[in-house]
Amino acid sequence: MNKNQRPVFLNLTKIRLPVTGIVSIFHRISGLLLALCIPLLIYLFDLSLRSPQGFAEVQQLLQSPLLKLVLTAGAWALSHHLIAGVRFLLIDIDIGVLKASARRSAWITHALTVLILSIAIMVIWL
Amino acid sequence: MRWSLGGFRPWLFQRISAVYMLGFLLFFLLAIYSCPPVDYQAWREWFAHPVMWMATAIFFVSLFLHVWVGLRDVILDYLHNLPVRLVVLISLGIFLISLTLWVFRALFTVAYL
Repeated sequence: MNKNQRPVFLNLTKIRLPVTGIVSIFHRISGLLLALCIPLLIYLFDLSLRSPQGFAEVQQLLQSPLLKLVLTAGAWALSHHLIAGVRFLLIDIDIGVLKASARRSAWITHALTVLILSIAIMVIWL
Repeated sequence: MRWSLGGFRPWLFQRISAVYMLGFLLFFLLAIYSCPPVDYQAWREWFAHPVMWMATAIFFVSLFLHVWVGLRDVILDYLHNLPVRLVVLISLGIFLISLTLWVFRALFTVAYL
């Protein structure tokens, strides 16, 4: 069979992704976002360990609104990626594989992410 | 040794590194929360401690392995043109190796100065 003749339906605005699918694509997006944050993370880590001046500089940087915004995005990505990751690990060992429980754990993933993100926002901005 | 894209070994690396990083991050957050490093000296002593030094080094190695497997999967899913795929994969590899060298330079200055 010619692979190229298979119908392709990729109208993203018309695909109604189920809640489990949303966890899946968010896991991917958050992973990509976290990967993009690594150079910044290492830059701050390196600077903070280099000298007392560097340490003070990092403390100052952490107070800047721009970095706080990045940290907030990072907090969302990290909390979602970790929780969804634990969910996938559980599915790996056969916990929550059935449709109903997979949907339930997907909702729990979103709820926990919102909860942890709220805490992170309070820590970052207050 | 057989090198293939996909397969059981990368899958296993991804899982093991995930579990390790989860444990490390929980420990790290707890440590930051319970006894925040107040100044440079305290912060540096954290990472100069051999156990913490090693745990941090393993964390970063896990992180780079995890990112390699994860982004490799994403690249293989969305980039179908072979030369493009190859260039992007090689760039990712160079990027991750550079980051590894960078973070280990930082860690070694803590250990030996």
